[in-house]
Amino acid sequence: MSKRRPTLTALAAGLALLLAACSSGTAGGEDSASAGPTTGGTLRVGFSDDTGNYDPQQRPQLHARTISRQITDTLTDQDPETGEILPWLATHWEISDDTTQFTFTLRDDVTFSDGTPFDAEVVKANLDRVVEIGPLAYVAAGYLRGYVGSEVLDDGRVRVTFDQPNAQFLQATATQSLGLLSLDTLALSPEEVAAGNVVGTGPYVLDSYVPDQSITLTAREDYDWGSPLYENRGRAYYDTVEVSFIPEATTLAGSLASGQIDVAYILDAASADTIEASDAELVSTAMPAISIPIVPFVYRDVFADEHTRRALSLATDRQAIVDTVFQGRYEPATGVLTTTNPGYVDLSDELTYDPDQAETELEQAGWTEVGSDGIRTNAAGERLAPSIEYVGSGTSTEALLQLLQQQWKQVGIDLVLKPVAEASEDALHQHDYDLSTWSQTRADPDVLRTVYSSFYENQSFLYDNADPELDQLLGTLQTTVDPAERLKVSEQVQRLILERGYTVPLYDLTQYTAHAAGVQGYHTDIEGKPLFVDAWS
Amino acid sequence: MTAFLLRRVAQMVVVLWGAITLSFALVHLVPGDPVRIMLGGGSGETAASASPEQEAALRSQLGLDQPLLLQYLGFLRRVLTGDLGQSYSTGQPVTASIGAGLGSTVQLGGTAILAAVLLGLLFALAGVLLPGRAVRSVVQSVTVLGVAVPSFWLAVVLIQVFSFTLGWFPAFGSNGVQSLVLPALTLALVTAGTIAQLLTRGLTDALGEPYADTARSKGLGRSRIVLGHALRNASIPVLTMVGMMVGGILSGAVIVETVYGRPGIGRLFVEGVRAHDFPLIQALIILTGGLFVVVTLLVDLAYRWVDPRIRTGVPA
Amino acid sequence: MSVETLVRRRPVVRWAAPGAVASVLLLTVVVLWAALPGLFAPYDPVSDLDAAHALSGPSTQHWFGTDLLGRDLYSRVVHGARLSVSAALIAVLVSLVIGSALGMLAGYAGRGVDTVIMRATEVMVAIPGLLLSLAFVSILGFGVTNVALAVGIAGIPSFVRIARAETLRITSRPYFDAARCAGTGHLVTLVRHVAPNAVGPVLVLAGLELGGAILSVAALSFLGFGAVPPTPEWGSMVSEGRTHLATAWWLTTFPGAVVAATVLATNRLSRGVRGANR
Repeated sequence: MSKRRPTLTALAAGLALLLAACSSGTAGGEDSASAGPTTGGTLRVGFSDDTGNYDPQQRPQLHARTISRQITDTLTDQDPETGEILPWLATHWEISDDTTQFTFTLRDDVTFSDGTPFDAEVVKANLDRVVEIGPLAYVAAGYLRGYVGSEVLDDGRVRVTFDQPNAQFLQATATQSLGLLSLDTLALSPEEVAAGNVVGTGPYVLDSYVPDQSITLTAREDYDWGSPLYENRGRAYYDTVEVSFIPEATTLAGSLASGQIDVAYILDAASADTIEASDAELVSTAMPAISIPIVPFVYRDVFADEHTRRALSLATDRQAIVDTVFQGRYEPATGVLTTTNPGYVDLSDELTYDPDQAETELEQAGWTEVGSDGIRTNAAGERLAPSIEYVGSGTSTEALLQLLQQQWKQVGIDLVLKPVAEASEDALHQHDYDLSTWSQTRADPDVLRTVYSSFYENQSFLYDNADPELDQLLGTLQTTVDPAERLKVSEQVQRLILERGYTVPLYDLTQYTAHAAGVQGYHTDIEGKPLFVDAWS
Repeated sequence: MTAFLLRRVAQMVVVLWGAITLSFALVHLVPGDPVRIMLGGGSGETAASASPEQEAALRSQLGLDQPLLLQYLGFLRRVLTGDLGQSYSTGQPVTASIGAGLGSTVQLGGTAILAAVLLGLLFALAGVLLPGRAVRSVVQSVTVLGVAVPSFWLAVVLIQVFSFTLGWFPAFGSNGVQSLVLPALTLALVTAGTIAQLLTRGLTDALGEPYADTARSKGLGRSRIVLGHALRNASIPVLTMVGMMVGGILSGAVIVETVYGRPGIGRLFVEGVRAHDFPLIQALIILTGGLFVVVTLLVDLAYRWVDPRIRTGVPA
Repeated sequence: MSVETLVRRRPVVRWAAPGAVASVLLLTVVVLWAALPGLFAPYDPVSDLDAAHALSGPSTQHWFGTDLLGRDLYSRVVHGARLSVSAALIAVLVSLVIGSALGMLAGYAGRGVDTVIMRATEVMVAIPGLLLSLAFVSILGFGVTNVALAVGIAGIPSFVRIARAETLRITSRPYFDAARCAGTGHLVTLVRHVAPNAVGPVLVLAGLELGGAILSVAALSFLGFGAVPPTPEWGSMVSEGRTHLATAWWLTTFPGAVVAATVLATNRLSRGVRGANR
């Protein structure tokens, strides 16, 4: 997603509760299975982005999470086929009837790569740390909302307590945002961990991280506690995984096609042709996420009126966007969530392209005069010229925004593009632009809470304009256990978000990655993150 | 010789001091507040994002809360002790970042210069020695292209042909000799045109000199005259150019390292500019200025060594 | 003469006249593109989206093909001329005005002033041009105007040198002393006597620098510091086209070739003019 992630928040979060099937890559080694996996060698991986922060618990961009996936393990894992939560580092758990207390029984044979043992104390220290660094780890901390504390019952048992029901916590323990780190790592400052000083229990060890150049992972010889979802529960087949950062979309695809790397993660949709024309294999994942939107900032004056915000959506021709910019490789959005998200509700009636209605809405919002340049002004003489800041010139995002610019111009909106060289890391509300675009992957409707609730006000798209009604619904979403009931709440949430013009969903993201023909056993998890432990050549 | 050396070294010091002063001035004497530019995203006004504490911290880290003269003296002192500050984006000492990239750029630049000289020589000789005026004229015209073709475009074209289509060389990275070929070739082609033109003119001029006539009257062939006599004289102007070439290569490295994704100081510079990382930019300005000064001194020395007639005056 | 000017200025190849004619024609076309893009571009470079023929190669309908959004590439190149050429002209103008003023001042005032200006010039020469421009861009901010200014600043030294040399040449002439004795003020002398005599060589240099300025502006735009989309600019067009390098060669090839041809023609003509001037 990164090349198309134009602003700061390419968020990605955990796995699904309910997700049934998903087109993640399947193991590719079947035909040559007679030979069997071989051990050794180096897997050369190209990453389209260096997220610059490799603390699994901090900012959860997909690239960072993919590294976390290799170097850390989690208490549980989740079957992408059935949605079932499977034991991993926790062999067993008990949940109190009111879902406020979770008691985990842990494996006793697991060690960190620095030799220290994995035990209840470590689990407690990890959860405490997430809450302690709070906003730095806002996705993980969001999972722990209402955290009272963890109690070490003995070496192998820990009890986590919340002050209110937390329906999604067990699933959250399967996400990389709650990847478990050693005590020494937790003692470091968040900046030091972000810089790659991470020690986990995973099949690979992070050897070195050179910003903008490379990450080197080496296989852990004594690894013996792989997830039940791994084909290979022991030592990884490849001795080393050498990640290089190749930010140029074409170069990334070209490097794979010409055999200079073995795996390309994540490809621009425009590069898919290149891969298909080569003998490398394209792997697509329909991301269980929030449909990629344009988000108007409610706290900016220009978007204070919900009529103006709604007009944006009505003026947007989604089909034209996916047809031209993405050459039909993506589907237009039909709701706030993507079709593969378990909380998906078909709201396509609310997402029609209706320029006339858009103009009516704009008139109602006071944008009544149309200037000689075709752009509307209000009584105060202000032009309707909202701006958007994005990263990456020459990317599909830029093409998309240019097309949107033309579409919105038809109804008198001048979309001003502000390309920047680097994404700002500060909170959203401190920027001098009116719109943003971003993506967040988590196969659970709870994903909506992360950005629209007032839990971390400074991370909320509604900054300073928290919507109490929405807050309440999102709270219900978190505490509702019954799946049917949850879906109902999810629909209410999404309808409210569209009604009040909080988002302009554009398209459902399909993530493309690819691997060389010679790489066997390559598969990805539900979020399209490759699992290098199972790959061999 | 000693007097010459002393004078050149003095000159070097002055230029270096100038480069340090310039890099200081860049940050301090510009419109807008450097702290706000660094914290913001470009012009000073958009810097609404930083908290006052962040601003104050950065201000004192950069010493911007002191009188200008004190800041300047402090800056000079730090630079002279090898402390070029910390990169604002990575938090590491800039000398560490530069140290990590310098080797790669030197490797790239060295290879490129070597290739450029060879290519330039080849074209110049072809342009003078090939039979047929029309053929020579075509070869000579091609050399003019080298100066006009944008390096960023050439890089893209070379990637398309030699990496994506033919698959001969990698389009990316800095692993081994293979990955050096295309970037070095890009830089070399852009530089070779100038060398070829200089050499061609030198050779043409030399062929018109009386000694060439003498040689011809002795029955020596055109190629014998060129290779035996004219080339040596024609090479001298090329030698004086090496200093400029190093500058050109560094400029080219900015583009080439970015397009080919190679680590190096050119790419570092672009990233510094993108991130408004002033300590890094300042250090790189001082470094490239210093590099130029040292190279021109070496060239001057070599020049005197090659052509002992030059005893007075300072070339370039 | 410095190494730099030596390299840049000496014409090596005497092209036959057809070369000059072709250059004049080409530059005329480019200047017309820049001046009256609407007359030459069959489509609007920004709002004409031919979705049915998006990302298609050169054809009779779209000479240079179309981009991802179905915009006509030829029209974008034509309109791009305006930004690219005017930015290069601004850059050269900045170098010329500031450089000549400083050069004349150095040559005229001599002594301390001369030393300071010339040492400063040496410092600027020591830093590779594109790096110097980039450093100024980092301070001035991004955008075409700032890129033009930054390229202009980096181009000052050559003008300082030539203006100084010309000033020294002129002030050493007898008629000049006569003028001085007549009691004219410094500024008047400079403007009335020095400037008109120096203008020829300075303009020739300006022509020679123009090609380099076009390249530098395009390079900085290519790196993403220049034009803001959807405004077409040659350098950023090449950069945009890179995403589709493997499938749509025309996106990078045509804008790049136009830059190369323009620079080639500019260089050719400047050399010719200088040759004639001597």
